[in-house]
Amino acid sequence: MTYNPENAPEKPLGYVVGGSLKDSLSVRLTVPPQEVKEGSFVVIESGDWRFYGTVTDLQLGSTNPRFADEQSENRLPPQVARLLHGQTLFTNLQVLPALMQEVGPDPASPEYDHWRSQHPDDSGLQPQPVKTVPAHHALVRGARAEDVANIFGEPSPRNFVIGYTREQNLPIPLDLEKFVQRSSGIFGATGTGKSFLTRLLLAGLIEYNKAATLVFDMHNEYAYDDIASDTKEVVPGLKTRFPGRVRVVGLGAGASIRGQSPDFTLTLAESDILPEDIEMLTRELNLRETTPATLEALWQSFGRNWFSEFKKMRNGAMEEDPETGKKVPAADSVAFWANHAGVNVMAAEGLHQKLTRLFNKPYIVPNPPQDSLAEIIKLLVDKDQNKHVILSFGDHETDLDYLLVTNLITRRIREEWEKRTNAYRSHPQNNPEPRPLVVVIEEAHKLLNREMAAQTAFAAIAREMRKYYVTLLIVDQRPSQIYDEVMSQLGTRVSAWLGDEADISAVLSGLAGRDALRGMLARLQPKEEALLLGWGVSLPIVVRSRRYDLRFFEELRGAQPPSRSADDAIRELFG
Amino acid sequence: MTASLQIGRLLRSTTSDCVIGCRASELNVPVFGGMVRIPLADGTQIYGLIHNIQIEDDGLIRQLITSDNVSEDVLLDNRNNRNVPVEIGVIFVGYAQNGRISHLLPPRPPLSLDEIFTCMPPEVIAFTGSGRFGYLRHILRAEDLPQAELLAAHIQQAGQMHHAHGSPGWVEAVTRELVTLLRDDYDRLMSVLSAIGDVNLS
Amino acid sequence: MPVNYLQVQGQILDKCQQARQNQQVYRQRLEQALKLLERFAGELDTLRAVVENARMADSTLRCAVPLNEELNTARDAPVMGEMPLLLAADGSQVNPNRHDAVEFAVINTGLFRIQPGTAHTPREETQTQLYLLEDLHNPDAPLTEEVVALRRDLTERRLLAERAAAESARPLITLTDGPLELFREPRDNPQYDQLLRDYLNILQKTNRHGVVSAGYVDKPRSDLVVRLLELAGEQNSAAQETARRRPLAGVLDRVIFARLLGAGQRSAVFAIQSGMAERFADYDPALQPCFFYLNVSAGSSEPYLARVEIPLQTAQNSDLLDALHAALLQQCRQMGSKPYPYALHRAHEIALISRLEKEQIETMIARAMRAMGLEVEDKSFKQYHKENR
Repeated sequence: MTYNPENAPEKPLGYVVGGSLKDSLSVRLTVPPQEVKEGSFVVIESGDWRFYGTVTDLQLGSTNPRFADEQSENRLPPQVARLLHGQTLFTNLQVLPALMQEVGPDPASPEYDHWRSQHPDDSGLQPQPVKTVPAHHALVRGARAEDVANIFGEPSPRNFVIGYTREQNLPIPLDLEKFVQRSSGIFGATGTGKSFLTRLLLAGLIEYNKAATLVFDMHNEYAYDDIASDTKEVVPGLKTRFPGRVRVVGLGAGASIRGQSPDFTLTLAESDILPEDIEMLTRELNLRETTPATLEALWQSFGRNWFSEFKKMRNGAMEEDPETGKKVPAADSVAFWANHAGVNVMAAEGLHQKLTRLFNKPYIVPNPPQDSLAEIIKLLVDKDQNKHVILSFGDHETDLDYLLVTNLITRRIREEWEKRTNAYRSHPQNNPEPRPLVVVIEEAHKLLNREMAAQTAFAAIAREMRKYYVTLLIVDQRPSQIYDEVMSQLGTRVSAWLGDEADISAVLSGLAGRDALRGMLARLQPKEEALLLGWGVSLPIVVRSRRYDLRFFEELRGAQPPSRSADDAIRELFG
Repeated sequence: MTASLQIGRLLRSTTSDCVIGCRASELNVPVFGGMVRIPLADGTQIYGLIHNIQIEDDGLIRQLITSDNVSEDVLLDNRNNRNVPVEIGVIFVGYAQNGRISHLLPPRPPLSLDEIFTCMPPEVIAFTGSGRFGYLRHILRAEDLPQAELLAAHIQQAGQMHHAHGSPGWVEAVTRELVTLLRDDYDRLMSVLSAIGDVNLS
Repeated sequence: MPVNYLQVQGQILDKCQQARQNQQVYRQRLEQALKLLERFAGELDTLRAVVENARMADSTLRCAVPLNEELNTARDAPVMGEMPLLLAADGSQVNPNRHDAVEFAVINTGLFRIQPGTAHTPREETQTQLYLLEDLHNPDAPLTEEVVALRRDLTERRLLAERAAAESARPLITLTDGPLELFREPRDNPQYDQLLRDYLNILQKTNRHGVVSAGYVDKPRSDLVVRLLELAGEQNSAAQETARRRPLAGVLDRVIFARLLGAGQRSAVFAIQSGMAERFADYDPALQPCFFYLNVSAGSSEPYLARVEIPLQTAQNSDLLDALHAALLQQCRQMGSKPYPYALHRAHEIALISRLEKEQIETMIARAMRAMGLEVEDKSFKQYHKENR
């Protein structure tokens, strides 16, 4: 049966029988276990206090193991067996309490006046993190719509509905204001709807428009309409849906994204590339340990033009010494420069050889027609333009492209936002507050693994850029490969199903009640379900994710709070 | 059975049980598990359950056994006339004083030769339906009794009366209470439930 | 103090020693008795003459007199189609006891009616007669234990007669435990003659209704036939001398008949020669007490003898005799290994006054007396301590 909040009798799910803050609470279930699911949001009424928590486990129990071991229904008539099982076999819920709130006595009760006089206003009555446990036998019930609203907020442009509770189908919003204040992550194994979740959130962020977003769209998924691989339905593109707000930037001159022309293209000036950009590619390019010394010499020799100059050198070019008649390195050869600069010739030649892959990148040009990087930053910085940028990598889908470009851009962004923030802080009256920026990184582990994190700008952003108005939105299927210091910094985490134990641990790193949450994460539906948790979420909760389709945009535009439609009901009944 | 029947007189008693003497020819009235009442002089009614019916022998019976065949008339004589000692064991389950039913043990036991009567359905229903089955503990405490059989017989009889008088849920309620009381004692509970499973209320 | 077993043990040994020495004499006498029985078996006229002579010489003579069956007669149990109706009565009494709080006597008579071999439940009845206050203290007729016993016998008989009168079935047998003769003779008591007359009157009435009155004597110690044989064997001696010398002393009738009677067999019927028997016969010749021995043991077991007393009228009616013979055996069979008439046992059981019942009666009396303002004494301290052991 479908839950109907209007006329459902207020039947408790069970009562508290034990537990601790550390190990979560045990609740004896008094309804069939099918009526409660892992991840449910439950409310515990304990005197003047109300506790909010999440079901993290269901356990079968028995007062004596023999009642469980032996199939007494074969020995006893059905009605007697039913009575026996009703009392000796039971299900315990594990409830991870997250919040508590003083609600005071019943307004109709005589104690209420006294209590009210001590609590003249509702300040101090807000939900707060749990610091104690409810009493024995406190009744536990499923969360009602008002509980959800109380904890997660009423749906609004700011409170963006990301999904619905499993049982009652109540909308669960994410506070976007809070969401962008810290870096966050969206995780899930391949095919679990991770990119749909990302699209949903991006749509919400763009619509709400309090922060700029920059999406590094490695696989050209976000800008234009796409066809879902499984349902064959049209997946709306963000550019399509927000033509005025979204600018699509293609990488490289003449780039074409899914057959469409981007708003403009990004070419990088050779002078934009710094030695550290190369160092970061050490693994990708299989560079030797002599590389830093060589790069340092190049920088000494040529300064910002090092890349162009190095590119121009001919590797292995020899000429005849007119005096001795011996073969010597040509004047424009790498060896010649190396000899002059006092670096190892072999090292320099090796580096030159390996950088050939970069020298050939068409989007790196000596003199780009315009500074498209600056253009991007301008779009993102400008509050009045309300623009968001999707950088599509077009045909340049290699890791090398992705690493180089994202890092380079992010470095520039970091410099820019630091500068603006410092200016704002020193002279708030002269300088505007910087526009918050969310940088969306797909396949984040490529940039944020333990090895790279130190070298790229991302780790720093994740760690400290919060105060400079820049945060990351990490999208990844292998969170375990991301540097754990970065993972633990993530405020809001939205995770779809994960199969790997290490990935699950990574998503839960730095959170309270990890052990209790682990099972929930492992047992999510492989599709369309996600666990919301972390600093940005009042309490961990499993949601059926909202569908990212045309109707979603209608709801978004209509600004009406999303509600269950007839289609939803039918889908639940028969789906 | 339309009126309360006298089934015998008290032989001996303690605060928790008693033994009733009864004539063999009257033995068709008391039944195992049946509820009986013993009125005291002060108006208190003690309630009990028959947990044992014992047919004693005597010298003559032992002697008659040695005969090749016991003739019909001798058989009838012994059944109907002779004071073959029949002892009925009754465990007290509560009492009523000034119309108030209590599932505690009676304040004092009945005296020798006090009369014992069978309980009528309204009495059984009133007693077993009052309170929360507190009287079961008297049965469960007496470990030397055939508890499972006694409970099953009691539930069968009382259950039929409740059923006929509009409270069909009584059997379920008493079974639930037994499960609660005995759930830490698997063996005892299963034997009680097996016996209850054999109860036929139709 | 407990019994002095040491002393007892010594005495037992002495007595047994004595008995062993007597054993030889006893065996000789027994053989002698059996020889005499065989010798005079058919000489009934002779024997009757011997007894008649002896009676002349000694009015207190007590012995058996043959009727018309030879001495060594052994009659098999007759085969009966259906058993006669049986009425058995027995009484018990509470004798007055001056130690009790209230002095009283009770005669309780139990009557048991059984139709053997049918599917009818036998009937029980009790009659209880209380003797209290005036009844006990009449100076002309004190209620002694003897009188109580006499009255008990009379009550048994009367109850049987009354119930028998209401029965139409014949043959009908009334049964009591013990002899028909009354042995208790409190001759000083003026009530005695009256009671005896009443007794005989009742017996006579019963007789005239064609109802059998039988007394069953279990494990009889009588030697009436042995005394007859003594007289027969010592015809040359004076009867008084023989009675004094007792040449066959120690031999009991039942030992002799145990040799003669097979299982279920009865002996010849004898009349009784005694002072009391004469009084019966004087009242009504048909009441002359007679008897026979009956081996009530079953099949293979050791013989077990009972003596059955009946009035002459029954002795002379072979149909009634057969009915009685068959009925008694059938009744004894019911008791298996220890034969005794079932009906008699039941009558006894019914009549028996238990100590509890006695106390109950005592309480009833005391309560009634107090209610009427009569003074009730305490029981004697001796009685108190006896009961309080």
